[in-house]
Amino acid sequence: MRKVLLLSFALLFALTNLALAQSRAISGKVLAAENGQPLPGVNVVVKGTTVGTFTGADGSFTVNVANDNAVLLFSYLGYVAQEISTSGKTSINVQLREDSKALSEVIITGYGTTVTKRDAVGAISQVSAKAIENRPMPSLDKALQGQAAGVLVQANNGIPGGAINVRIRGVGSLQAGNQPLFVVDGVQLNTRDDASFTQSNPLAFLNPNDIASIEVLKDAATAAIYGAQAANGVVLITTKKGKAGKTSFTASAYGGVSAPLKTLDVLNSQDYLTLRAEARSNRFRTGMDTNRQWILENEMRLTPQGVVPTAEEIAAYTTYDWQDAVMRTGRIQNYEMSASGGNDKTTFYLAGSYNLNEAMFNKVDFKRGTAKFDLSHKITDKLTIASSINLSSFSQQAPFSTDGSFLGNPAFSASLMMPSNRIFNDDGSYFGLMGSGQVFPGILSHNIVAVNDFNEANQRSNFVVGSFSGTYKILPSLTFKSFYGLDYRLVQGRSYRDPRTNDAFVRKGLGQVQSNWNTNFLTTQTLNFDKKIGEHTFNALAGFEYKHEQNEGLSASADGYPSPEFRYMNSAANPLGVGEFFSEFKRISGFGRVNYNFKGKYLLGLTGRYDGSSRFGANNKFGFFPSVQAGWNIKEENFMQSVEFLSFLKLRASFGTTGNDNISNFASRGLAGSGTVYNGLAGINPTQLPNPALKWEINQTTNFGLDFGFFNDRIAGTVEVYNRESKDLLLDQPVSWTTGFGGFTSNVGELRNRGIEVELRTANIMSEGGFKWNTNFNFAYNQNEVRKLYGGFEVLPSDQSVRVGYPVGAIFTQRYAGVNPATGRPMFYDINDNITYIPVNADRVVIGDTQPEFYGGLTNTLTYKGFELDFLFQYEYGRMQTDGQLNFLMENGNRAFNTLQYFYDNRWQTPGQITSIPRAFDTGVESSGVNHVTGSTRTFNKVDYIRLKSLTLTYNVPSTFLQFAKINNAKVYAQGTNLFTYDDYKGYDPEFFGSATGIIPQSKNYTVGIQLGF
Amino acid sequence: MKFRYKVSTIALFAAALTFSSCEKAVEVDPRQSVDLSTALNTKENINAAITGAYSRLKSARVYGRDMIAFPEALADNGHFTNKSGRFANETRNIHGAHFNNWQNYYYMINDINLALDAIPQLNVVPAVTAAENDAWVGQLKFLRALAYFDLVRTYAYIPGTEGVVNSKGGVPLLLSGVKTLDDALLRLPSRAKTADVYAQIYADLQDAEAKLKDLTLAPALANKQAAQALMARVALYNKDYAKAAEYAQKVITTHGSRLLTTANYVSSWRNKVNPESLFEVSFTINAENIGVNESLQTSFTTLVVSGDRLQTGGWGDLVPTSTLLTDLGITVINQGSSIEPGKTGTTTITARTNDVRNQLYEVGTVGRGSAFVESTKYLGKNGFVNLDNAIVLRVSEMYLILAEAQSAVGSTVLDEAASRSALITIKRNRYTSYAGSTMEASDLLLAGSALRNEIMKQRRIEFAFEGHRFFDLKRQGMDLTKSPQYTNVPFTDYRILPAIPLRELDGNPNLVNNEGY
Repeated sequence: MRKVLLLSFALLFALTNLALAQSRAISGKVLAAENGQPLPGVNVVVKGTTVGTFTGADGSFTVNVANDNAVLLFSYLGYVAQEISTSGKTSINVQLREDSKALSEVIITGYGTTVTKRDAVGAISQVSAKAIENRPMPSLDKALQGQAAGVLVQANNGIPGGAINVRIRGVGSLQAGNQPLFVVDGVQLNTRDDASFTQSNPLAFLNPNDIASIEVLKDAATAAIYGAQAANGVVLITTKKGKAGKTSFTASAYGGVSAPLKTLDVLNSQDYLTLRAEARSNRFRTGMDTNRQWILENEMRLTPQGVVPTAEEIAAYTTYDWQDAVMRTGRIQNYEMSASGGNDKTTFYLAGSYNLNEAMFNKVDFKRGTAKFDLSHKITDKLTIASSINLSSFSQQAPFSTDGSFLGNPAFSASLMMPSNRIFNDDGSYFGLMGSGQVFPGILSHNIVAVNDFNEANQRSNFVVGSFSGTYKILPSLTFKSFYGLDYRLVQGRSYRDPRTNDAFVRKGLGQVQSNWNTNFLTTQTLNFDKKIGEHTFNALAGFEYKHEQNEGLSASADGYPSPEFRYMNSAANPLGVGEFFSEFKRISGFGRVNYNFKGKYLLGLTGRYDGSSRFGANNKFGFFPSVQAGWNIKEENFMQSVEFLSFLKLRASFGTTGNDNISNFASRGLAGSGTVYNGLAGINPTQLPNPALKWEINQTTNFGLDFGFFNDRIAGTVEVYNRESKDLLLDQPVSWTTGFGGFTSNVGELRNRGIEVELRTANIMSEGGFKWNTNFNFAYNQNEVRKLYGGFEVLPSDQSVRVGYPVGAIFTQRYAGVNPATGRPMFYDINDNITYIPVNADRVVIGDTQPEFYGGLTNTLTYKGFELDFLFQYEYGRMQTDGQLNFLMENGNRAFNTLQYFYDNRWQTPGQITSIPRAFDTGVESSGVNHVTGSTRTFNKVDYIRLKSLTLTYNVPSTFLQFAKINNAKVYAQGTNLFTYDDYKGYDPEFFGSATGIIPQSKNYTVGIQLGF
Repeated sequence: MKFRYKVSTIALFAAALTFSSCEKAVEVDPRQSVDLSTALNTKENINAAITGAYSRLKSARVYGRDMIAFPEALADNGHFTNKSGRFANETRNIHGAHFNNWQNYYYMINDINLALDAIPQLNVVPAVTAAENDAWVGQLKFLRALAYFDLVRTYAYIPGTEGVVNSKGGVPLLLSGVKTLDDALLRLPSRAKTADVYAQIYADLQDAEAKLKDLTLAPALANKQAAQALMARVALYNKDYAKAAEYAQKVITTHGSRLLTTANYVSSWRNKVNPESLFEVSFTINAENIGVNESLQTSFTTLVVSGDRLQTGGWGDLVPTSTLLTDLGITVINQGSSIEPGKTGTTTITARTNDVRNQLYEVGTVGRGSAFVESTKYLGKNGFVNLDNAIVLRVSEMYLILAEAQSAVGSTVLDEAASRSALITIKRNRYTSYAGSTMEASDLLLAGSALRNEIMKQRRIEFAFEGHRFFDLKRQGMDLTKSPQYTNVPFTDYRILPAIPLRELDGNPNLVNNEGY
């Protein structure tokens, strides 16, 4: 290439000399070869000169050339550059082809450093904007699901903007945080959820469509530049920036609906009656007739005392669908606009968006407005200033509670509600309200539809995430950057429990408010050195960082409201409590990195970071985190040149250390705290033991990686193998309660994650006719093991799920042995594999664990002419969970609430019957027995699944159709999420994290959208 | 090159400068807590620490609920209604369903020990006066005695019954506070002998008695009579009848006149503070409310207001058993019916005897299912639903202790006439038209086991739903003879004692759990 360039230079000079001063204009258009869409911002240069321009939003350009034989050079990031002679032409239309090698694509590795894929030495997964574009998900972390090998993303529930569990390469800590560090344009975010009344994921502040790319730093050696915050990996988010050239606009909108994945098949009134009568009859041995009548009179209250209904009358009892009454078809809407442009000195990017995402469950929703402003200005050739500001505000209507078995929690009670309970009276009023004189039968004694209607709770989160920086080029090879970042957020919430609902009837309404603000200030000063000397390329970074975070809060509650019309606290008779809260921490760090590259073949990286944090003990406030990386571009070797089918081959190895400081701000301090009250006076109590030796949790990862490309990269991919050892685990080490304390924060124990990750990108079909089929596949296998605890313990005393030799989240429980065919009683195995009816603690064994063995995603993209079909499957295998909601639904007549049809249909009824569902028994506890829904293999379920996470059909409207409207590009699309799930799960949904009791479940979404550029 | 050298020097210098001040830069002090090592160095903080110790008594694991409700459920007074499912296991004496007050009481003991350690070290101006010292030490020792007494009567067999079953001893006896990590790690106590625990309780109570002032105002705080009354009870449990009688008599002499009569018994139970009380755990403001799941009111009744069966408040999870209703003199029909009030078939009390105490029981609502006769001793008396003081010691008990101490088998102060007299004092003030009745005539003839049984029966009635019954049976080595539909638990059954929390045994080889766990 270099030779060709030189040659053309020479040629150019020669030509210039021949024909002087014949200037003429050449105009034309640059299109993408793949879809015929105009490419804005393409650099068009007259070869050998500095004369040039950028294409406009419609891909057009006009450039003056000085002579007839000038050659134009078209270049655009990610595309193969083209040279076209202007000889004899006045107009040139060019189609640029995407750079299939993509090895010149840059990867961001932290603190503004970029490296080409070819030269990268770390285990980094990159997720492009396109992969997460227009997905109807409020937060970017959810959109990462299935996109990057080794990045496990699990939603806690279906609350839009709710908590997302992100694990990179397994669980590395027992009690300190396991969430990775998220960095948006250099600002390290605090991702703690401070909302009181619902889950407000701070990452939902960002409109995912404002993201240009996401890099996940997986190996400790790459992440080590973030030192003590990087033990769980780092997610770098780069937002879209302005491009010089004619101002281009995009406008897009999508709309659609969210709908339940399914409704649970629960019993109708007749089956319920049979089941409960049978349960009582089995318990009291008084016969079905007596008990049917008892249930009708006392439990279901369908008949007056002593009146025996006929079989026809029983058959005519109505079944009310409570699930349907609390679920709905939610609306999804998204509107956004952006403008980008500037000149060679100043560039800008402006964007605004509005997003509405209603859950399919009343009345939960998410509304967000964002404004983004990016400006970069070159004051002189040496000095550049830049500012990036993201303003965002989202508000959420909160559910009754985010989870839990509260009677008034509609998400808990809907499926369990006694099916004969009416929702409304004939006059349209709610049935069975307190004070109405009507009795609402059953244990679930709250009319949850009324609860949903009457109560209100809102949570608002306001964000300013922004930065200001100045960059000064001291020397061509040496740059100094001064960066100041702010992550400020204000979380406000209020909840009002209406006095007409059971929970607040007696107290005449309950109001609660909270306000919590977090100020996270960060400054980074970095020196960057870039130099190529002969065949040696150096890149070095040295930096200093200071971070100060303050968190403050206020809360209040009151009850005794005059009537439901009064919903603000100034109307309340009785203030209950007020709270004020303050906490802070500081961190100071110095860091450096050197990358060396010889001939593009041999790559070496060294990183070190020295961190000091206020969170740790007086004796251990500072820690050092070094790492080393090496890479070998084997394909660049001469002996490999003849291997033609191989287009790329690189071997990498790294070892690095990172730290985890995700503990409470004062965990090392001995504390006496206030908050107790007696006899009208405030008291203090000892609250925490000191541990002056407390220090970081250490995470050491050894990583080997292989990047490969075959057949001109039509098959390309990466294989990573890693061993991640976590040491000095931050752990609440118990002490005897007789000390007056439960434990102290300590550094004890070791954990190990070992695994393999595979990313594969294939171009399966690239037909002449324009049909293309691309596949991206990723797979991660992770093996987690607790290696050591303190004091010789094989089991963590406070947590049976932490056991040496087993993964974190080991399930230690009793084994269910099925049903005795003779009696219908539930049986268990004791520790010696004998049948027992009363399993005891000693009978427990490890039956599995709550971490998936492997997981990943599969994306297929099919394009033909303007059409594009894109679908993503996401999968998890090998995880077990207990589903709290399902456990209630499994009671099968133990108590006065509903159950799943499956358990009813398969219950034991006659001697000799072989089934795994025990006979119905009131209370669920047979004499000399235990409840059949006691924790056992029966209540832990495999939650393996493959899910069609998203399916998108896009049509790129050909530009010829658009010209009359001065639109440069347009696409319309239809998208579905969670359309199909392959599982054999009896509960609502296998995709959950946590207990699942009374959670707002996941939904499926259908959206259609349009995106325009002009 | 020169320029580059300069830049790097500046950078190095800047880095050196910042790091030299690093240690300070990352020093942050909490603003919502104080340092444990110096927390108790002012008079104000000693007072606050004592308040902190009192506040432990409000926990639902002790006087907030369990110490009041579990003795009813575990023995023969409480029947579970299965409305919320609470007490279903305790009433049926299911393995593991038992007291769990270990953590709360040992935390409280550390609060107390830290304060007791700090008081002599207090170096303040003005200096601590003798009166201040006595008030502090007196209260702290009373509280420590109460904590150890509740621990030892919960987790250990009671003196005099230990030989019957396999006793593993008393509870760990710790008299110094922990505030450093080393102290905490070294604390691996074994169970002290039961007798040693009682001896310590005696010592603390006698010190408290000497230092505390007479009960004059509200009994929310420790006072001389509370110390004496607790001493009487502890001595009775310890089969130290002479001391039990002596201390019961001390209280009766000064505060016996507080005994309620048939005329004011019921109305006094509706007061915020029961006039008979010598020590109550006080719940003053609504922020202290334990709430609709575990408060005393919700545990025992669905009613919000006495007599209003249309307004449903709490769960009403634990109600009198049929045998208790018999002792109370209440006849009820359609117990457990869910028919609305006023209609035929609704739960109804058809007859009551002349015992005024049964007027504290009435039919609950059908708001949460079936209606039962419920105890209304706790009705949100502090102005808010579910907010009631828990009575720990009251004067009636002194009469019944006196009666029992003077009639018990093996008593050194055996005096059946005096015993009868004390018993009759109670009965005269509880049964209307008692004087001259046939009941009085037969009571005057009581002797031996008949007298002892009548005292036990009066205790059962008088203190029903006040947390005595299980311990009254246990301290006498009696079987739990449950009401019909429950299974009896013999005294020799391991379920008489709860398990010491398993976590306490992990890592402490010196501690042994009770039999059966």
